[in-house]
Order: sequence, then structure tokens, then C-alpha cells
Amino acid sequence: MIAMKRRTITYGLAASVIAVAVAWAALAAALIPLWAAETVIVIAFPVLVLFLGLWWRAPGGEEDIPFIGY
Amino acid sequence: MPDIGGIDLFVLEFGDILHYYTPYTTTLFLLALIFTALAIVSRPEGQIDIAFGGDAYYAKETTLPEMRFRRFMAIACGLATMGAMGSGDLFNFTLFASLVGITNVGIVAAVKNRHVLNAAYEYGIVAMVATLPLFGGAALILATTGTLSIPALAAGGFAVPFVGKALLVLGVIGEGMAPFYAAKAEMFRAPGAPYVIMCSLSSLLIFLRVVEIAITI
Amino acid sequence: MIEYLVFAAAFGLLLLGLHRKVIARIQMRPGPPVWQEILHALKFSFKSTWVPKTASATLYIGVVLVGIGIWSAALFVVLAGESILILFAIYMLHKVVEHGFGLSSGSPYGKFGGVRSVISAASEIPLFVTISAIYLFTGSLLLRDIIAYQGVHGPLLLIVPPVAIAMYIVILSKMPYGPFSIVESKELVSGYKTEHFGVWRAGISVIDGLKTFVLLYAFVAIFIGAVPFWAALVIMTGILVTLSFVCAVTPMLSPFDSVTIQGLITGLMLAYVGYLWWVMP
Repeated sequence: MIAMKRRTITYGLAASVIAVAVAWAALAAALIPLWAAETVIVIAFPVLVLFLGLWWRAPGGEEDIPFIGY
Repeated sequence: MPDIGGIDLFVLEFGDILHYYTPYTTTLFLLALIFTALAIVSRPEGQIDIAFGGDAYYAKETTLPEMRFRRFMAIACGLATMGAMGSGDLFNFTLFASLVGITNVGIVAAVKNRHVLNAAYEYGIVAMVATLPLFGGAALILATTGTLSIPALAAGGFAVPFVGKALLVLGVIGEGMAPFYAAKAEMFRAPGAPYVIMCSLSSLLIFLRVVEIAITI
Repeated sequence: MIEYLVFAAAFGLLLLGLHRKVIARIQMRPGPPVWQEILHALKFSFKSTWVPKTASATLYIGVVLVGIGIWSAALFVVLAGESILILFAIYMLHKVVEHGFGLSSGSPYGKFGGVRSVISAASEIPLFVTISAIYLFTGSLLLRDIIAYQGVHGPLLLIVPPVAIAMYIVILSKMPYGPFSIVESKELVSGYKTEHFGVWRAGISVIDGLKTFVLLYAFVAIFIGAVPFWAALVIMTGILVTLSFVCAVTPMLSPFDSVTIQGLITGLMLAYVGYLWWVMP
């Protein structure tokens, strides 16, 4: 099962952001053809969407104590 | 050759029988590959059922050997689909299409549920009957043109009979497209989601491929 | 590239919000704000998220990725003017994604949503008929050739109106709250979407946004032809409002009625294309 570890999620997010950025830059510099950039983005964009959301709420170093009653 | 799937990206020749991939068939091939990979790596879900008219629910029991067999069938179905996507030979395509029909029954045949088995039986009969127009169409095209190679037929110079194309499409529709998919809906009640969705995926993909073939030749 | 995707998803969600607003106003309700669907997507993306115990975890998550991936690819295919057969393939594969959503969780509601999505397979055939009719005229299925054809002969909307209606019905059958949206009807909680919550649901929102944008944009490109981008957006909004009117005034059909009507439409379209094929030189 995927543990909701902030570090794992940060790595996933970083990997997808870097993939998208590299594809974009390489296309702008005309290093790779359009279809290659599109393929990379089609694969990286879904990962980016999910990891962005997971990262947003992922537990950090110290856990907060849940409110347990009035 | 009418340019409907885009330019050839890759051609693998075995004499005059060849496999080729256009952007269109590559897309289909990759999708079959993704869902086959999902069937390989996913564990089946634990299906919960409800008793209508109350709050009761119960978990369905499945056994490991049953799931192993069904995973094997799902992978076989994925391989048959991938074969049909790249095939450049009409007869190979029809073989792969009928293999898809057989493996689809196999995917749900091990489920111990009366509704699912009835549906699989009905689907099996339709798929079996549909192989007649499927192979008939290919045979008709071979008899009139003398070749089964899709690129050769697409290059022109052959009068491909319309009846042959129509029978080919009808055969593939019989493997599980509308309006013959009715039995398939009940097959989807079976537990083991990663395997069951291969039933639908495979018949969609071979239909998409036969559309391309029918327009090209 | 990525900016197109973000724009398309946001604009598609905005269109879905407008859809809800128009339906509400027709039904004499105030309705949610127009940007409600964008707010939904944002809200779901920071809710706490996990995978249900009964779910097939890999498929449960994988199908969200596949869903976003195929519609991103569809957007690129439409923007680049590639073969509309690929668009058709992606539209049909969305069905498999629906099955995946519904069946992967083990929930009975999701499962019934998935089973309904199998029996509503008849809704894809009008799209196939659309494509074959277009091929009869243009002799090509590449979107750029179709646009070039319309540059010479005028919009296909005026040449073959019944085919445009068929594609309109295809889009209608994918709209929420419509007569054919049996896969997410309320007696099944949210149908195939029921068990995907939190970030997974935000992923579904992105899929819905992209899907709405791509289908409407493809409709404009296929039936109206080359128009400036802003004009395309305006026309898309106009088409969406007409769809909302249809959705607002029609009841949701029962599964079997829905399938019967879609089957009848398919039969009519097949007859029309057969007629076209017969009379075309």
C-alpha cells in the first residue's frame, strides 16, 4: 500500500514537474520533435495532477493532535 | 492508400506477412499494453454486495486458484488484442479477433455465479456464431483478390468486395459490440475488476482496428 | 503544451459550471456559482485521501492516471489536426476508464455504475457513423484535411446536418444531468464515481473538464471549420447552453429506455449514411 509519506510524495511531484519542464524547454529549444514532447507531457501531466493534490495534504514531520472532544 | 491512421511508424516483415504500426494503431497498442500491465500487477478487489431492500451487505469470497486462472486469461486476452492491433494480414487479424472472443469467455468462466456463467454462455454462443462472418469475410476477400495483406490491398488495384468488408466488420461486432454486447453487461458483475475490464477493452480495440481496416482496404 | 492542458481543463470545468447554472435557472432555482466546478476540483484536491480496503489499489489509482492521460492526448490530437479516428478511439476508451472506476473499488454502487456503462455502449456507434459520413465527403479523416475541405466547400454543419445532430447526441450522452447519464444517476449515489474521493475525485474533475473541452472543440473543428480561437470558445459556450436546455427539460431515462433510444438513433444514422453512400458518386 502506498504510504502517505511526505518525502515520497515530494519526490513524485518533483519528478513530474521536472519531466514537464524538461519537455517544454527541449521543445522550445527545438531539441525534440513535437510528438516526443507531447508524449512526455501526456505521461507526466496525470502524475503531476495527482501528486500536487496528495502533496497539498500530505502529513509533514510533526503530526498534529486530532481534536478529541469538547 | 487512404491516409486515415497517419504515416507508418514501424514495419516488421515476415516475407509478405507483415506487422505495421501507424500513429493510430500505436495508440491502440499502447492502451492494450497499459491495461494488460494493470491486469498483471493489480490485485483483484474484494467485492462487496448489497441485499436489496435492507441495510445488509456481504463480502463475496473468491479463491486464489480461480483468480490466477482468470489473470492468465486476461493476459492472454491482452496479448491477442495487441496482436490484432499490429497485424498487417487479414487472416492473422481474424485469428486474433476470434482468440479475443475465446479468452473473454475464459476470463469469467471460472466465476462461481449463475448470472455470470449464463451471460458468459450466451456471449460464447454469439461470439462463436460471429466467427462465421469473420472468417467468411476474409475468405471472400482472399478469393476475389488473391491476397490477404492489408498494405497490398490498400495500395489499390484490387476490387475488394463490399460484402467481404461488411462481413468482416459484422464478425468483429459479434465479438462484443453493440447490439451484441448485452450479455457482456452481466459478465461485468464478476469480481476481479482488472481482469473483467479486459473483456470490454479487447472488443473495443478490435472494433476500432477493423474500422481502420475496412476503410483502408 | 502544459498551458493548453491547464487552460482546457479550467475552461471545460467552467463550461460544466455554466451547464449547472443554466439548468438551475431553467428549473427556477438560483443554482451554484459558475465557477463551482473549479472550486470542487480545488476542494477535492486537498481533502485527505487514501485507498479503500476492498479496492484493487493499482487499478483504482491507475485508472485515474489513464483517464487524464487519454484526454490530454485527445486534446493534443485535436489541436494538431491529427486523425479523428484517434479521437473516436479515445472516446470509446473513456468507457473502459468508466468500467475501471466503477469496478475497481468493490463497492456495489460503483459496480452498478460500471455495468450500466457497459450496457450504454450503444452511444458510441453514432460517433462511428459520423466519422464514416464525413469520410464519404472529405476522403480523409485527418482533422486538418477536414478543416481544409470546409474552407473550400463551407461548413459541414450545412452540408450534412443529420451527421452534426448525431455528434451532438454523442456529446449530450456524455453530459451530466442529461437524459442518457444513467452511469452516474442518483439512485446509484454517484454511479461509477461513488468511491473515488479526495485527490482521486479531483482527478475525475480534471478528466471531465478536459473531456467537455475536447468534445466541444472537436465539434466546432469538424462541423464549422477554421475559426479564430476566441470565436471557437464563444461557439462552444453557445453549444453548451443548448445542451443545458436539453438536459434541463428532459427527465433521466431508465437504463433500458436510454439504450433503446440510443439504439434507434444509431439505426436512423446507419440508414442515413447508407443512403448517402448510395447517392454519392
